[in-house]
Amino acid sequence: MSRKGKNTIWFLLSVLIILALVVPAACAEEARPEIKNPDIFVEDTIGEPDSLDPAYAYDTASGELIQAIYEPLIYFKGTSTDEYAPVLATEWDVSDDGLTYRFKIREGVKFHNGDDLTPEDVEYSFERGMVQDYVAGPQWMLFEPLLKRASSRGSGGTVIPLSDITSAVEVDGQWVQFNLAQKYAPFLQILCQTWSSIVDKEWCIAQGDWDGTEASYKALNSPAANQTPLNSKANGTGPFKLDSWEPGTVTMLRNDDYWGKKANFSTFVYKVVSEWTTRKLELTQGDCDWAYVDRQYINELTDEEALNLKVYKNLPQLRFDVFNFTQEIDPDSDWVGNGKLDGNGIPLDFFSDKDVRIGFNYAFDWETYIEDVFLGEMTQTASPVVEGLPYFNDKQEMYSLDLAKAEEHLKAAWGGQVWEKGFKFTVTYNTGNISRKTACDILKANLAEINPKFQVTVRAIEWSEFLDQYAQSLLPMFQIGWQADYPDPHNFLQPYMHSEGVYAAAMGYSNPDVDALIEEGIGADSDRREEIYYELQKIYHDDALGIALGQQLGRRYFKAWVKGYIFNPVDPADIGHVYKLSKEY
Amino acid sequence: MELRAYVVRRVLLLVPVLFGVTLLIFGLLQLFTPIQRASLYISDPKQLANLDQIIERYGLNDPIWKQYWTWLNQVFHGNLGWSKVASMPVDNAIWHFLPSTIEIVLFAAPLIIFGGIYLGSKAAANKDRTVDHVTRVGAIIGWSLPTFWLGLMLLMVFYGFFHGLLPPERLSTSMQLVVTSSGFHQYTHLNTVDAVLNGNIRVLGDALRHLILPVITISVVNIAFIMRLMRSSMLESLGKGYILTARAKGLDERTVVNKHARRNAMIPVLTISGYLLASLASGVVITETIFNYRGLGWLAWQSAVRLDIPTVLGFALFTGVLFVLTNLVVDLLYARIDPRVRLGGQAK
Amino acid sequence: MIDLKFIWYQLRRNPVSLAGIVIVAMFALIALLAPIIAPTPAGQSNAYLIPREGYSPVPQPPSWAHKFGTTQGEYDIYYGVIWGTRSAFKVGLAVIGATLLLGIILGSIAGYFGGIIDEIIMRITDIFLAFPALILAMAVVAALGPSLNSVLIALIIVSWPAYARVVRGDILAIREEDYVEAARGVGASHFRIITRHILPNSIYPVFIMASLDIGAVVLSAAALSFLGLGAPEGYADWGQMIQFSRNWIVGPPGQPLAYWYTVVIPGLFILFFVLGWNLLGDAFRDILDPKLVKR
Repeated sequence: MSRKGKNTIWFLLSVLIILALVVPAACAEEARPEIKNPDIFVEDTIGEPDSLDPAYAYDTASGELIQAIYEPLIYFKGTSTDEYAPVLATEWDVSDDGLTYRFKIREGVKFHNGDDLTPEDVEYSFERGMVQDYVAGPQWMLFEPLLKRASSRGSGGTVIPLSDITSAVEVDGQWVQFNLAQKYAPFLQILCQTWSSIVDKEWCIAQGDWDGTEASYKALNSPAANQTPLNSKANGTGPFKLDSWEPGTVTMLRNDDYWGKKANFSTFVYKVVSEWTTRKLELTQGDCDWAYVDRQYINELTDEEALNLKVYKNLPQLRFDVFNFTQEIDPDSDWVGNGKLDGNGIPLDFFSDKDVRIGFNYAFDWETYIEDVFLGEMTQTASPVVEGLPYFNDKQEMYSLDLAKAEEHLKAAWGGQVWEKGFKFTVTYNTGNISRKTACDILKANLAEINPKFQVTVRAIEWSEFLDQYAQSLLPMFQIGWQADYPDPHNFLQPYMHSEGVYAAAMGYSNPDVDALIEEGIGADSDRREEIYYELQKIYHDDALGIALGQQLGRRYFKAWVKGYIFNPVDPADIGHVYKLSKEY
Repeated sequence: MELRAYVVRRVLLLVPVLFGVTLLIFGLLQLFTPIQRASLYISDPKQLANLDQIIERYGLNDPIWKQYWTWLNQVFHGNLGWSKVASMPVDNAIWHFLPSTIEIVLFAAPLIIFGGIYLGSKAAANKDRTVDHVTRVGAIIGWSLPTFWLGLMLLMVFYGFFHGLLPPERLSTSMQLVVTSSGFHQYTHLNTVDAVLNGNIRVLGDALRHLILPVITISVVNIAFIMRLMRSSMLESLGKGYILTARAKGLDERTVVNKHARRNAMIPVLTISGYLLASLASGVVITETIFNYRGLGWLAWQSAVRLDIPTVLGFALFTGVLFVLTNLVVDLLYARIDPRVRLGGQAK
Repeated sequence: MIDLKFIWYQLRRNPVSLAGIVIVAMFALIALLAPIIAPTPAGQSNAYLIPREGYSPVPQPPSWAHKFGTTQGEYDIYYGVIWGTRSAFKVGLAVIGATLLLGIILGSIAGYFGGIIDEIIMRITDIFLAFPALILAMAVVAALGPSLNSVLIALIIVSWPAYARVVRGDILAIREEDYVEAARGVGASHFRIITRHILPNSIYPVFIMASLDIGAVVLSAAALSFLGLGAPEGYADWGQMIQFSRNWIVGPPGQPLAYWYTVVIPGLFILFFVLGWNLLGDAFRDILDPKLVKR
């Protein structure tokens, strides 16, 4: 046979062999609505978890996993945000002065490695968190109520005495007692979240974590990113135990010794799939049971029945988005034109005039924004206090598109100079964020319509640059969102309105009356709190601190065979409490 | 110049090159402010409250030479730092992601090189006949296709339209669990090789099935490129004097083409192999992103976008070493094939 | 050296090359006539920003108002691909021009003089080639902001070393040839030898590479945009438009090709543009190779 002939035969043979291997594998998975992998739950999402250390992790992706592996003392009951169900604590009481909280610890609970749960573990969990106090972590939420400070570190690089931390949490028999430094209404809510998870003291110490001494405290305080002993290892009491964490895939196995009702499937796989097309196809093919669906693609999945999906809609997420005004722009800003009110720029305190801010508010078209960008699934709010939070005032007046009123206020601004001379500045958004870009475009178009001398340029900048610019108050206007840490108005208002709040500070906003109200609100009784927070919502609106874009309504996309999902507004962004779900028709 | 001395000298040159690469990166860091670099550690604007502390903690405000020195010190102690993108130490990250990329390249490279050379010389030997025109048009279209477009189109047809026939990612979920279970031993972390070593046909089939699209995506463009180059350089060498001589001597066309023309035509191809490596490197990034194949391409990209400097540096060191050694091999091959070239040639 | 009759003869022999010239000429025409066939709406200062009708995130199919339909965010595809032709030319020609210049100069110096000079230049190219291209591109874009200019600069920085190496390689092979010896014997200066004798005989692979590369450069720029590193959203750039279409490649179930126009149209523009240049590159090769003239 000629060499050419032989080559051809070899080639055909290898193609046949490959086909023989590939085709059976392919045929095995045809698209019938048969439950795929019935004993495995697969979650396709976009967020890579940061750390599995409950005291360290602050992002929602990590939160999702920590919730499956670890447990807190109490958690919200069902869909409520102010009623609690016992988890690792069986009963609790709060002293009349609101400074002492006591929890009775459940007996008969074991950690994944077999150790018993004791009150000492609970005490250790909170103390070790404060000892560690990661610089970008959630510990400030425990420092505020327990020690009335933001962190363990003071000025000059010193740390507070260890005794301060250890006296905040104490063991009394089968009870654990928290000694607060100030009356703090949302304390129980904070205890529900992942940073209040309970870890195993003996196991942690064996992994090299804090051993109780002063020396160990100083050595472990303020760790470098991801350098805590519990970063990639886990030992909790929860319904799942960690099997492996490869970048992009976290595999968890059912805890068969769980003290409560065991999970309905043996394996929980958390997968990061950043490419939308791939994620969508995995969802439609049934290769995953839940997938994260960006808002702009919901039209591709409308036929729920044909795709065998169950979609939960209009979920009131505790999230607030706003277009902030910087009232004191830093002189180094590149976005203010020539810095003068002569039509070719804006002065650095341009937004300190209330009429400017109110005028801009009336120039924003919420209807178009909500319809076109969020496909109608967003509620406008008047202030950072969103629906679902206690003391939300649904009767609070809000702005709406009214070019006549906008004109009126802008004519009054800066003694009429704004109207006469016009202005020019650049508004930026972080590259890739289409909804933010659209908000910029809407504002720009409407302002130009009111008066052609109002010139706004829209520019995209990288996220890192955005952070940089924002942190130095270089951006005249910037969009930012806030996701609830815990469901209380304090969590939302403090950053935006208190002069030391992270956003208010960047905006250059400072109002001592507001500060006083916020500080009083945290510990006041229920009626007084209602008064205070209603007042603050009104102030936010009247002072027009920003253009309050609103509260996004969420959607969750499951395959139709997933049952048992309950949405609680405080759940981390994805599912939360996966073990309660089951796969059946 | 003596061969051994030459090789030793070239390997020693690794040192200044690596210094050069890492210094260049640190130099580029000058373009970023400390806050921009701090963005790596901030996933949510809430954490901005502690921005100063974060910058302090990681020494982002220190002068560049101090940061470089700290890093250098770390490296000499065997510590390449922590990769935030991969959630593991940098050296682990590189070893962890390497197998995925190697697997794609392992299947793609022979296809590209042999396919390209074969098609190219065939086209040149049959210049202006049908074979030439057909392969030429095919190659030109292949070379003009955007890789990412091709990948997405292939996915659409073979995954979407044909209901999951050829899916993305490395393995299906059930096979993934088999591979990470205790019953399966991961010798090389290359799924195909491991499957063979473990005698598991199902995993092998699954892995191959997942490899088909990425390999095709990355090969098309490169085959076309090699083919074009091979053809034009073959044509050039076929026109050379020694070819006429060979023909005049009475040698058959086959020997003329294979032994003489092809050998000399491969010189530019060899030079381009460095370029090819770079092309494969970028092709792999796009391919890995589209098919959710977590390999080195994906790691490089993520670390660049998120300003994960430790990973960037570690990755640069790795590619630096790889590249220098590859170039050395190419230059040696060069000298072997073309006797006119003297290693480290001096002007007379 | 350039004989018009011969060029015409070669083109007639090779209809494929003719096609290349026609395609590129058509694109050049489109680019030149852009303001006429896709006029910028009044009041818009930057012509490269694609006008948007509304803000709906879902692409709309072709209609009278939008001949090629709209992308997500209601950007007009027709406008985008027409003005994108200008962006493509800009990127392709600027990058190739600059890299050719840098590459030829440095490559010939390295190849001709050899020794220490060769070593130094080669080590510098090593450093640049050892540098992961995308990371360099990212750094440049991050520093300069997402725009077409950053893409230009990034691509130039990344591309010149390959050219230098090719030129050097060819010169190394040619340097020992007889006519070079002869020229040296006659006492010609280095510069003369390089420009009159060596370069003309060794430069063709580089020009072929360059003409093939214009297409590749446009593809690289599109890839950078696809990965989010290039032109910002709403900018008339083909890569950017494919980025918009990335998530609409598979439409709603039952109509997998519902949004075909968002993917296919910009993709075809890229394909044909690059195709045209590649065919042109072939034509150059056939015309400029003096050895072929003899045949």
